[in-house]
Amino acid sequence: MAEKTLLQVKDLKMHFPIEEGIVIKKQVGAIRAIDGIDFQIEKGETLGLVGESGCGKSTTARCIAQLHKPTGGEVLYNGVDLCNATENDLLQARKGIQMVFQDPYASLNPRMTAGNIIAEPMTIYRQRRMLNMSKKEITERVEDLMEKVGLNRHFKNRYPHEFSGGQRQRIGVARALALNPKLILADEPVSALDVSIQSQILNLLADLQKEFDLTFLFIAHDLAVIQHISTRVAVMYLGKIVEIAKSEDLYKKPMHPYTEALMSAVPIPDPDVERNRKRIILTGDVPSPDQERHGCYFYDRCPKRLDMCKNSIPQLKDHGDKHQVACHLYK
Amino acid sequence: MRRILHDLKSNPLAIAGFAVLFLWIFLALAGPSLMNFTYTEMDTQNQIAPPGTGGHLLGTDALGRDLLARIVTGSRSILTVALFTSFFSTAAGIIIGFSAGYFGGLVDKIFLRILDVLMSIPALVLAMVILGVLGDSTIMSLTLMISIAYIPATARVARGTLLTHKGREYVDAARIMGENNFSIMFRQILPNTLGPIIVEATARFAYSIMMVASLGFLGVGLQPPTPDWGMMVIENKQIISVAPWSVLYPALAIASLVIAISLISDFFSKVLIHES
Repeated sequence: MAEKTLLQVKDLKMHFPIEEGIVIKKQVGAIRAIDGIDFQIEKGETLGLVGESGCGKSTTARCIAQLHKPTGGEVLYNGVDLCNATENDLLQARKGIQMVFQDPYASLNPRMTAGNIIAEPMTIYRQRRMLNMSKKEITERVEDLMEKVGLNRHFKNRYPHEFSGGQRQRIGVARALALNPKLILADEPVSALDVSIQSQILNLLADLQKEFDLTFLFIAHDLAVIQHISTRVAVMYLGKIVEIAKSEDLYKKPMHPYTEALMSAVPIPDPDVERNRKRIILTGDVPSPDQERHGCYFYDRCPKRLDMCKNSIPQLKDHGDKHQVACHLYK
Repeated sequence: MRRILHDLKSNPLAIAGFAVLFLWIFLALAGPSLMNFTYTEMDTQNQIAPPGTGGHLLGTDALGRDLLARIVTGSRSILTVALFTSFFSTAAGIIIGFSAGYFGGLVDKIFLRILDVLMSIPALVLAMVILGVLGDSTIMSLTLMISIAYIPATARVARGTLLTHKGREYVDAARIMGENNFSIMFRQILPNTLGPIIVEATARFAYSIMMVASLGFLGVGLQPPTPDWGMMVIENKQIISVAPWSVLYPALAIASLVIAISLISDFFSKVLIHES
């Protein structure tokens, strides 16, 4: 593991059991939300994670934060495996890993004031004697954080319903920053916001990243958003990562057929170019993730499939300049 | 709080409900000392006296006891039992319902099955069985037994409201922040579920009054000489043809209190559940 690797995910699997039976439950199958993924995040970078609905993006973030106990694999944060960590180690690690949620209406407790919501992580760690701050210091830090994220400090006694969507997301960001984390898992932090507010929040995140030397795992389904904020991008399909590359490489020369199709769906803001743009239209639907697969996960819909794709699962391989692809087309 | 007061102004039924409830509370606290008679005093000159004779505002019963004094004194025990019952059954319901719903899985299933069994027995029968075990009815044993009989209902409400909030992202956020289960349940989720729980608690208050009166009517409630509204109805049944007021007034007392609390409960459900 390289010195500057902050988070490493090894063969992470999350299978949600499907149960049947009224009295005696029997597991009859599993939804393979994540089916063995590997990636790492370097200090200071932003790894974008894209993919369509239901491909396991959010589950990945939740597994890293240990909100779900993964079925298999390792999540190494600073070399500590979070999946098998003791409660104390996990608490210690979570101080460095915080999450920003998708829905700013659901992620803030409606019965707590903005100030209390932001102070919450500090209060909890103070009670657990893992943070050495007086109550007065916490109040000051809450006010500082509110100004850092662009909120008036006098709003701290207001309740979430008194804020707009963008302001609520700012509260969510301030809460995530409270413990001085290293890594922030941003689970579609802007997809619930208006387009005009999206860019404000994205710029806020970018500014905070510079100021506090943060590392992001940034999940989105909007390719423009991902391109704007990420240094590297990972593309997910059906619980697998199909391609990871530097942001500009991925957008210039996508290698995996799925990424190509995805990229061809991005509209170009120039009517002449847009008219002649060739779109790759995929046929069929995403297969149900409840079956174990023996071939390439994209086989059913791939326009460039080979015979061998049916019975052999392609592994992620590096094709120069850290451009990793899982596809049999590239040897 | 300000919003609740504001809504109250435009709801005359709820105002009436609160007025009647506060009147009964006032009578229970101060009433007996304002009466001309005590509840055991037998006015032998005025047995079965109609309302208004010999200083008996609501008349007397077969033994010449003042009905008003007995009703007012009886409000003390019934209000005490109902208040504590709704408090204890709600508190226990929250603890049981929350732990079942929050931890889910096997714990949830076991709790639910036990509650199902308790619920399949009518509360009145269950209460009488528990009374049989506990022995003589006192305010304490009545409170305990009615609370137990009502726990399944309150626990189900608490569990249901918890489940609607358990999946919200603010709960996940709290878990990431390292908050422990106890504090997530009671500090994060409980304030958000208070609406339905308060409504259920007021409904339980009304039900307990009916339960105390029913038990009194069946003769297994509070024992004489403590006056009990349900007991008064059954005692005076023999003289109903000559002295209908002796049955009417205690029955009216029960009805007024139950209706008043139901109106309050309706008001809470409008304000706390449907508008948030």
